Amino acid sequence: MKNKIILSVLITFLNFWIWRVFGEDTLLGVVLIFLSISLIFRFRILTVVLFLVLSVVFLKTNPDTNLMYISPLEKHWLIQRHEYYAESLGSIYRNRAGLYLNYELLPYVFKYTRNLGYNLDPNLYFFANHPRERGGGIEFEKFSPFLLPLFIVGVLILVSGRDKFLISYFIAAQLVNALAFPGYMLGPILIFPFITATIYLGAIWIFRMET
Amino acid sequence: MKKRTFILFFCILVLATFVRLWQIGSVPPGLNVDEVSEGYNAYSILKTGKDRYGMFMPITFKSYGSYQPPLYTYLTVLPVYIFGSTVFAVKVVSLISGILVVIFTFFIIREFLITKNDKTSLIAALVITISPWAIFFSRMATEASVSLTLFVIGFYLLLRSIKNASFFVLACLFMGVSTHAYYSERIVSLLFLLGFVVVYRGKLLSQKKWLLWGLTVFAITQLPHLFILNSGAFTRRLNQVSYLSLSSFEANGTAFKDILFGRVMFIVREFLSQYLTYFSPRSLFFEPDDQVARSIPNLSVFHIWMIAPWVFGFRYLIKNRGNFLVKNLIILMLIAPIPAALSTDPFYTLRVFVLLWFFSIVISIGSWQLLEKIKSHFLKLFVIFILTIFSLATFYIHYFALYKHERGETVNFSSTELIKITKERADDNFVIDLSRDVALGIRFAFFREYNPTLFQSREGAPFLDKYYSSVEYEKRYDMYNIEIRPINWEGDVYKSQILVGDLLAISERQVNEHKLKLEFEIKDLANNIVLVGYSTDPKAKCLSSPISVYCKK
Repeated sequence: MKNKIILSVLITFLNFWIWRVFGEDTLLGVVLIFLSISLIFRFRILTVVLFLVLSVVFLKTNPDTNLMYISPLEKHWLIQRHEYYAESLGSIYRNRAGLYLNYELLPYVFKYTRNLGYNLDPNLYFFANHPRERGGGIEFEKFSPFLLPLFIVGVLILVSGRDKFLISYFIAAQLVNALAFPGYMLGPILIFPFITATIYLGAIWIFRMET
Repeated sequence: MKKRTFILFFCILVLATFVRLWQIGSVPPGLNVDEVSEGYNAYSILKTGKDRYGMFMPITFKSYGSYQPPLYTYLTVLPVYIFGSTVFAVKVVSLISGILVVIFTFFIIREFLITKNDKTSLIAALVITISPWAIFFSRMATEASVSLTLFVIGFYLLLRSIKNASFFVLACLFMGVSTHAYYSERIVSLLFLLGFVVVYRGKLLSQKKWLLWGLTVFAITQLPHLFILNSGAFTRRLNQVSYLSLSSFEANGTAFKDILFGRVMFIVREFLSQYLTYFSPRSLFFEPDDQVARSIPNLSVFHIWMIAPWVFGFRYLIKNRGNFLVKNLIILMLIAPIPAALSTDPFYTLRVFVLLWFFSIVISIGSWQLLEKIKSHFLKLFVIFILTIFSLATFYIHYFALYKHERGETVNFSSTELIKITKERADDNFVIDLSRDVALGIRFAFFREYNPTLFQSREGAPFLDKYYSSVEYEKRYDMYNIEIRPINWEGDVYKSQILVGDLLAISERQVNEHKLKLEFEIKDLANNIVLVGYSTDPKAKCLSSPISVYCKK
């Protein structure tokens, strides 16, 4: 157990991301550390409470206001696409439902899924988003690429196993992160505990620490 | 095969053919630069046995400063003979390749997956049928489509060779020929064949005769590559797109310049990040390829819903990693991204067809795993039906509505329209200044079936001597009533002709100054003016500037 604690602390602290968080906001860093450790050791209630608190604070301070806002340029595109849909789809499009989808629903769904896609990219966490750097976003390397093999092993264990709690955390964190501003200077921080927990999972398998 | 399975498989094939064939001549509304090059070279081979530069049966086709793998062009000769110089003729090889992939995927899963389950093989055929990448590229004349088909057939035969060693020879033939279809397979086919031989050396060595025959056949297929190995043509594309050169390091490796083994670290980082991006859900399910010419607006290579079966498919692979097919699929997964990971482009779909095919199988297995959780047979069919309809509807909206209108110029729709005008107005002379369509001359030559012998002697001859070693290519064309070159504003306005260009080539000031008269405008499918044609008025021009030497004549 002692080795596992040391390992979890090493993984949580030996990355660029947490020090960047500490550099900007010490309290946030402390909460993230607690959340990571509680997720690694599956302290379920503490994890859920910290996650909820952090999510609320994160979304209050960094909501993606673009999610519910259509800029004039986007409006221009929508009108143009309206013409294309009308020509290609005919009466299937030219009705209330079709117009509602084009103007009222799909633009927002598209923006949300785009955010979701950004945060689901492993390159964002290990290679500062290289080679698909985002325009306007602040990109920094969050974890060293040397930790990538541990992360991959962790993901494989996760995919093959039935760790529903960690998977649920991942899904919840991604859904909430996608509501936040993607260009946030500290990145999608809610996913930090998941990555440390997955690296930990890979590490204990590789170093044969699993009983 | 059970009768019910056969009927369902037949229905899937009909669907696969329909979605690939429907409106193929008009969506996309033209041919891109590579397609038109393949088309005219095929036409030239058909008529003269030589390509447009006059090279007899080239090992690789010289094309706009690079080289095209030869197989697609040679296979296109027959369709061009049957259907003439049309968009359909150029695409038909890709179309057939796409359908063959569906067929062989069905048989691979049916014969080798642990379950030997008809349902899984039908789902696999269906997933390939409705995957955006598979439909999109089957409707485009891409060498990679042919190479994927050859690879998949070779893969199938390799798997069969474990039970019947004689298949090994045929498998090596297909793997070898696939290296002449697209660049990626030069690496993927070779590495996979080597990996297969190493992993199953015990079984293969017990049938030494077939093993040696197979490897000999593969070696023979590689002889053409040996002839051009040191010419520059063989490695030209790699040099164009990779980050392995010193100049690439100096341009992009600033952060590694002062570090010990900095260049090695730069290459390792580039390779790993590129490799990883081909497994990223962002690249596979959420975002299209960055190249607008080879991607659909707002639609990735797979549908978003496929992410769930993708994960469950991997779960199956991990749990059944000892299965014969799964083991080979895992080897394939590790090898397939290597060629693309050696290039600088982030997520270049064409270079990873084999990987996308692998992912399609993973998605099929995952779909089958998820469907097994549904007890009701009726509900299973309902889910399959709804997902198929949803996927095809999504593809239709993004491809036939958006891609067609927003990306029409990636296949130079306006140039194709211009060709029609020049043909209709055969008595007029045209000077066309259009540097952004590098293939304009070849486009005219292909669609108007310009005599290849004339083309070879006038446009191609200067480049024949250094065919495999020089990257120079023709930029001016003179055929029929058309000259393709930059407008000479000092001379052209004094001759009676039509000047054609985009809005940057001919400004309003030039129109007024040179007394030009608007003859036509060509709009793209998004209704933007792309090309304009103005007739000159030499008399009026000479009246306004009588001292010109052209007026004295």
